[in-house]
Amino acid sequence: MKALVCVKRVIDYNVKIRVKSDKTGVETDNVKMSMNPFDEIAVEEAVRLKENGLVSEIVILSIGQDSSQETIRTGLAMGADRGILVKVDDILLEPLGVGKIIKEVCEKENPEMIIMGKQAIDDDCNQTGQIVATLTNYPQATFASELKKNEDGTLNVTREVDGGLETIKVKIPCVVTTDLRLNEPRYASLPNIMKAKQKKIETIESKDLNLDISPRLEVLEVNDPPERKAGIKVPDVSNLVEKLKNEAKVI
Amino acid sequence: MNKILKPLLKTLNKNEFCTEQGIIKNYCIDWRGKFKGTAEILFFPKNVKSVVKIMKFCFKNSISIVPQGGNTSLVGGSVPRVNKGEVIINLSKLNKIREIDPISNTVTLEGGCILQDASDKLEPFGLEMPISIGSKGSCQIGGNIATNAGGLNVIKYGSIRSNILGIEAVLPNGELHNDLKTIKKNNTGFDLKQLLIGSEGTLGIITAATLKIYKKPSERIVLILSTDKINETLEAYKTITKNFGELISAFELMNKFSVNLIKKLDNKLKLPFSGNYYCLIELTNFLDIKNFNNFIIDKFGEVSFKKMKIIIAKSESENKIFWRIREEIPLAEKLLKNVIQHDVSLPLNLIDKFIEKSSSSLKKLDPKIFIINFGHLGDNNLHFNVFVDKILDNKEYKKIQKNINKIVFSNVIKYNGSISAEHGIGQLRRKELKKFKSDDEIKKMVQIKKIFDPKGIMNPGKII
Repeated sequence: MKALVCVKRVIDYNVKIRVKSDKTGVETDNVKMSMNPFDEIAVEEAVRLKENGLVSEIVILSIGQDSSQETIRTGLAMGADRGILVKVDDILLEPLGVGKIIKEVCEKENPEMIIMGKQAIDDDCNQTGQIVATLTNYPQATFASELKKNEDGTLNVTREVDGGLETIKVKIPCVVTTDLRLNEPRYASLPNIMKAKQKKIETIESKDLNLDISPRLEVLEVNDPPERKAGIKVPDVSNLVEKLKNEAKVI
Repeated sequence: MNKILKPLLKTLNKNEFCTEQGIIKNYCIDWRGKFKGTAEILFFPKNVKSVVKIMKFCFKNSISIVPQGGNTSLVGGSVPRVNKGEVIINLSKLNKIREIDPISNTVTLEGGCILQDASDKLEPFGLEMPISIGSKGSCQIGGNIATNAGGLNVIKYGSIRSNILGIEAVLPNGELHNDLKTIKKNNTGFDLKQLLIGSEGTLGIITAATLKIYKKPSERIVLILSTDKINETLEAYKTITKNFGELISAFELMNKFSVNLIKKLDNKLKLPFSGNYYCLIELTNFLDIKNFNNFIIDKFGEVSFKKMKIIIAKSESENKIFWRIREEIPLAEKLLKNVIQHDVSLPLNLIDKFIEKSSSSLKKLDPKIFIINFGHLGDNNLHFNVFVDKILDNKEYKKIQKNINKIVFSNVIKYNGSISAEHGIGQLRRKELKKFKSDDEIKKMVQIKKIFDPKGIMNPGKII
């Protein structure tokens, strides 16, 4: 089984996001970037499947600027075999555009499993996996928290749904999106990082794909969340109870 | 005592003191719970005027004063002794940030300002404090300066001493010593503030200080290096410092025993290691290098790092996990009984010999001895703590403590190190100080103390 893992380069989860002063977006200059944490889980899962002999090759796909190569290398250092970078410059990509590009790459690569994070932590769209499934007409298993391969080649995927877990069976090729509890990604060791440097990353110019990836949405304004008000001190317990009852209305 | 204090209390605000012994006793015990003293009263001055008032009164009436910040001293420096009629001046209410100057990159803070609060206030300006220590959430600037606190940033920005431009302090007779300057050059005779830095509250109370602050770098990468032998660690240290030089912002050592202790706190924490010694190395992008990650990895490719077992964090989340491992060792260690701590400093090229010699002698002393060894390798500072895995009564503890200290300190002296690298002397190391310093040095220290504190009322029983 060949796996295509889609990874996105995002502002690091621990960086404090700053909105640009003209409110057109957020500051990305001189800001630490990392692989989207949900995508890191997808890479880890593919590598584990490969270690268990269930996956034969892992291809990492990222769409973005040259700097996304660094993110692909991270995946290669974790154990993936090769990378593809689809270069997109100066355009704000939306999930539909991303989905179209992934579909195009799938036609060339013919993976049996397309695996990616359930969402990216920057735009929080949670759409790409679903869009890819629609465009490719493959079954989808979203929010995966456990993945098992059956003897007949199908996959059993446990999904985290409201109020519990749901296990579904999907035929391959399929699209899987990963949830937080699927696994804990491994650390990258220096020898593996060095090996990753030797692995191939193919670059494709998005314009050569002849796709309409232009944005469908217009960003009007980006704003900071409202500032949290400072807490207050109450003199005693009865005052606290009174406030919780009448002001906060929680008891 | 309360009778004597009455005229003073009348002039203070009601919430500037506390006479309830039930509350006072919490301020009389040190962080490690090894020094328990008593105090007559606890002061919480809200401004410098009140500090002056209290000090003048105590000077006049010869009442001994224990200055106290966040009470995180590891040598019993910030708590009173037993039944000596001492009073505590706790600085926690004197905690204003007086000025942040983003042009000259300085900050003026009051002594009771908590280190973490100061760092948080600087963050929106893209600036950071020159110090970071494990107790940053409780320790206060005044105490940091009074103890010349070391910590995790010394390799990056130098010691706290080298980052202080001015100090305001109240001297034992109540006189206000004001030297709050933001200038970087000031060669005008003896530099008295240098005496107050590291004085452990025995010369006066630091009420405010001006410190250098720095542009906060945009990113860092944390690595974990593991080795089997300490001399391999030193070899790796040489190679890494040679290649990464000024990008290194931390080089911390941890032995296997100390890292395994953390599992007691959090058994889910994934420890990325194998080997007997681990180093946490932090590389910071001080120079705004584009694609810093690639830059670092390319450098690792250039030189012969082949034999080194290194893990490189992929994200800031992993940076934080690695730091947590290092920072939680003291907390995990606190859960153990019978740990005898040593905060020593040694010449880098002799650290391996010190560790090997001391460890083998200690094992011979008692096979139930384990070494919790961690610290700031980049500053030649080792925390060489000895855990006796036995149930000991008070007498047995004292005996083994004496023998352990003898082995450790004789090796420190043999290898030309220091018996206290960053924790200070306080009550804990007073006796050893006399063995470690020459008679002449001790005599001069006593003379200096007398000039500042002729009545001997400032934090008595500490240092000398």
